[in-house]
Amino acid sequence: MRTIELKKYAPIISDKEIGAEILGEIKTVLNSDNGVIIDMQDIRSMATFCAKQIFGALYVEMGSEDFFNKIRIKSATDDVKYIINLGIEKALEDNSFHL
Amino acid sequence: MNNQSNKITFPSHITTNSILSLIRAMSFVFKLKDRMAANYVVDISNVKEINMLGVLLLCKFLEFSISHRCFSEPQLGINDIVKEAIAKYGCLSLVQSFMNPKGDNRKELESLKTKIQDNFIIAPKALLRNDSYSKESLNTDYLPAINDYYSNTIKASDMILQVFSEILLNFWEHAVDDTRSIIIAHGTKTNIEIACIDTGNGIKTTLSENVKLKKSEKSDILLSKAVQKGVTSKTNTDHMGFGLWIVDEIVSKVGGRLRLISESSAYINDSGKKTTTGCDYWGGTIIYVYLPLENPVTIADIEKGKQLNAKICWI
Repeated sequence: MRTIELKKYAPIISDKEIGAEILGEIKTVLNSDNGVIIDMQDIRSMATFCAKQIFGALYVEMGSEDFFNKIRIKSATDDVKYIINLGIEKALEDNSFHL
Repeated sequence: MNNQSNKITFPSHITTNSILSLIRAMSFVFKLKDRMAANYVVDISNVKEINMLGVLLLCKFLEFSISHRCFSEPQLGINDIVKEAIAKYGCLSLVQSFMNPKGDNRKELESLKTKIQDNFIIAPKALLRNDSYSKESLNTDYLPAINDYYSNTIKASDMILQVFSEILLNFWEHAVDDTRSIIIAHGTKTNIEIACIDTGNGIKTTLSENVKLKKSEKSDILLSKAVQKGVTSKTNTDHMGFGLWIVDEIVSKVGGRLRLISESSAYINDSGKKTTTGCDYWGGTIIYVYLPLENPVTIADIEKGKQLNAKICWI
């Protein structure tokens, strides 16, 4: 399983272009590998927008089982974990609204 | 403003609590866009006290009035107190460049510098839509400098970075027409102030397109809705409407202060006591946050104990 290190974007991910770049990088790895480790070392915070853009989009696209089995999130702080959860919950909420 | 002499007089004490009085003195400028009004005297010489928010508002007022050709040959009366405050917050060359209407002040905007001394940090930064300037330097220079200054207090540093990230994103994404927003922070080891001001489309206007008010509700209430969880002017996008809610919740929990001012409304949160009120017109958005750092909280503390439903493999 390949690892994508996000520390080059530290300390905070708060830009939609960077969010798109990270999402693209994850998708590229998932196209060739069966899973990916996303290393959040040194990421101190993340805009909720970016959490939805990256993790919310993946969760909706892959479904909860595939997301759980194929994506591992490493070294996330409690805050970053919370923000990622918020992003996923909002993406699911929006998705169910549009179904 | 005295109409006969066209003399604009500023309040003598410009503090966070008197900021609406300062807006009252400046508000008329939005009616003078492209008017080249003659015989105006901008009198700042009676100011005895001016804080960071006042300096930033003054900068934006001057920048707006000059870039939108509001006055013809205005006179500016300024005293040493104001000059020293402008210099203290690193904005002197910027203000000087505004005084030269033929010049391009992008260079001065780009040259705003973070200043770190033993007991304080002052960090002004223009949010320019220029990839080589803002996007890289925010993450490689500006935010790490703030992070380093607070490196002995990790929790406080996390709180500050979270508030910064939400304010920054809010201005980046909403102030699409304004290329000269400035964010500024002034911090000590015990507290930090952060302010960002633009003269683009105000939150109130952008929000009114998506948030419908009841007939009994005054338009001022829109700003209090802007800090509610999940309220956004950008529906059908990745925007979640959580940014200002997070900032407001953190301010309430740490006993801080938040001022959100847009067009003719102001939202005020003082240690969790929240009010909305009408005020004089500011053509854009002003956000000001004061955070004491004694008992910092972060986003994970806001809804502590809440069941999180997403199925995620953390390692």
